[in-house]
Amino acid sequence: METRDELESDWIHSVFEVLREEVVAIAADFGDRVKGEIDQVAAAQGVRPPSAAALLTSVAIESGNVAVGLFRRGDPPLDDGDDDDPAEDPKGQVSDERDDEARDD
Amino acid sequence: MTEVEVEVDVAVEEDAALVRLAAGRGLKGQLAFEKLVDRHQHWLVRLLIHLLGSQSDAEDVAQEAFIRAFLAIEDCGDGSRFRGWLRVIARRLAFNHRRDARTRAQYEERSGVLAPRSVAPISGQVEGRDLLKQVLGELAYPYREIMVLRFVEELPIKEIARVLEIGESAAKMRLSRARAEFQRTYEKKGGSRGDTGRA
Repeated sequence: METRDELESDWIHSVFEVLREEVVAIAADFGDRVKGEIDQVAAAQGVRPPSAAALLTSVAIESGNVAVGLFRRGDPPLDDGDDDDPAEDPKGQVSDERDDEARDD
Repeated sequence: MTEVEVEVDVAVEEDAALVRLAAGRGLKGQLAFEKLVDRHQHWLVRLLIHLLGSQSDAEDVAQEAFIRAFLAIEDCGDGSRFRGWLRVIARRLAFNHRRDARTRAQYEERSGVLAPRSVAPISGQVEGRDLLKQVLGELAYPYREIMVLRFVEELPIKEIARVLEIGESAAKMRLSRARAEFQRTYEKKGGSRGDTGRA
């Protein structure tokens, strides 16, 4: 059973031919999934610095945050944390909600 | 040297170069390992499908095998035996995966949650490839494993012994018993020596 000729003359070897020739269709994204997992493992285990793709993504996110920050600089803060100030609408009027709270007090 | 042997030698040299790069770590090492994934994913998933009988299980175990290999790439030596080394990792993981699945199934059976069972095909409807897969599925796992390594992967006894982490004489004996069991089951199900497995 050791030589190639002996293997090929074996009837069981002939029976298995169909499995040897079978084309196995693996999932189209299998390779990408494995590489994605490896990327995560590599980052977590510290076996390499962040990949170029990850760096570019983080730079893009940071740039986006800076742009949003600049855009909002002229706007009033959404919540300044000071609840004592009456909430005013753009026209300078106290909102109905605040009026209700005042009445409750 | 035949054309095929030359191709194999070139592939081994390329593997060795990629393994050396991967062992150097860093981004370059990771990209080198990703090339190894591209080169070895097809045969690895195919081997695991034959061992586990399920494509999704095979892909899960193959993914795990690649991750283990990536983390331990320094242990692969000069890299010329990457394929064999990866096969050993995958075979161990497949064995564990199968054992865990059996334990889960036994637990579910005991606790009243019945795992779905495969329906046995009606005699006479199973032919060729299906018959072969059915027979393989009915063999004791160590026999199924050695039959796949020998007749699908076409590994020599020495390599089979290495993958199974047993001695060569033990591998020969196991293969001989597996052949006998395969023949008995195959013929019982209507297969004959003249078949080529094609429907």
